[in-house]
Amino acid sequence: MSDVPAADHDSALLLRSVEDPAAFATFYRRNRDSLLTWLYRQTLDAEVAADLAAEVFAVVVERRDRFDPGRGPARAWLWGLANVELNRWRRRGAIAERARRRIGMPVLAVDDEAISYVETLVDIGQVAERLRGHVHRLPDGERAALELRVFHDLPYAEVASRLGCAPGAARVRVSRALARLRDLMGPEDRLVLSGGVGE
Amino acid sequence: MSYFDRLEQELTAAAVRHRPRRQLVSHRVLAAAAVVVVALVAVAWQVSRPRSAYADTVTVQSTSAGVRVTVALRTAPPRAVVKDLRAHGLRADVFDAPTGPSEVGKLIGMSATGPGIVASGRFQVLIPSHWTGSFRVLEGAAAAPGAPYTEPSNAFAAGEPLACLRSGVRVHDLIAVARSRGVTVSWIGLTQTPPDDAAVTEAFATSASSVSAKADTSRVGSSIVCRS
Repeated sequence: MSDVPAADHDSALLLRSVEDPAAFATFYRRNRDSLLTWLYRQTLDAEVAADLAAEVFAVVVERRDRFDPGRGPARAWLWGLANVELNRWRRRGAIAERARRRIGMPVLAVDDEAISYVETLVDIGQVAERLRGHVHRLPDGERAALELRVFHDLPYAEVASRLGCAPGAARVRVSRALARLRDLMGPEDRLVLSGGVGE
Repeated sequence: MSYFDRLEQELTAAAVRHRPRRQLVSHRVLAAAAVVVVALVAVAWQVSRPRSAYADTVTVQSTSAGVRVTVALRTAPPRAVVKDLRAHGLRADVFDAPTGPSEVGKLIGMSATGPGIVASGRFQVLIPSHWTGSFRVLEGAAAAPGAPYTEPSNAFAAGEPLACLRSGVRVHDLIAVARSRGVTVSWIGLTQTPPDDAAVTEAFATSASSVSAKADTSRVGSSIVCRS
């Protein structure tokens, strides 16, 4: 590890967390929401974003002694790790759990409350125009659910009521529609949706 | 306690348990040694157990929400996907999906039919444990003359209506080529034809004679002339 002093608070926390795990908790709280925001914009799937964030932070726990502030700030290092996990998910279609297993941490089930929380971090309506160009290619049921949720900003309970299905089914339809859109979108759209790296 | 609070608790507990010690040997040396070991193991494994290039085309994972079935290798032939699904004890068959010439014979996606499907995407399906349904693996097939494609194809790909063009072409040039070939163009997300100089970002063939295209009116496109 370099002897270069940490220039920012996150880097200092990360360095301190090797000996003082409480510093890690502060690092997690400071970076959690911005990482979730970025992952959600990249994946368009709140559940995947939450699960990926858990794996990324597990990698941080595992490798925090390897962080070298001489090579860049902690946030850049964190986003580098997140990018690796994101690409792995894109390649494999499944979220790795290896780091969590290696550090003996359970894989927590992402619940509805967590999904709703992630969804509040990104105003998906802002990117709606980019999505709109592809929406006509979705199956009817998924398109209706997506339009009510994203373009009309209705809560899932209201979407479900209008579609005559359970809220869980409405959530599945929206999630499925977003996943399809992600596959349909070109790199240019994805670049716009990504909102930049590390905000 | 919320998911993210529990996550913080578990991560912090893991950080207490997992206190990394300074390495006596540098990571670069360890990485180099690991590469050598992996290479040796890989060679030995290849020699002893030759496998199909499409092994592990499908991954099956148990999660708290159900069993996640994913096509990990999207370039695999549809029949390899079916074979791998069956190897995992799942019922699967190949079905034709009429599409453009560039997608014929290729894997288009999959769908599941049966009770209790939790979530379904083009290459990933979440099913309950002990599921009794089956998978439909979609293979691109030549559409009947004049028939619409159930799966749009890239209109710029080889064999497609606008094969000589590419993303970034000027709207004017795309329209000229389309007109000369009897192809109708509709514009995604626009109510009228975009400016002549705008750049076309994507074009999907929806039949042999129709294309849905998308233009970026903030960008100037490139002039491309088709020789044939």
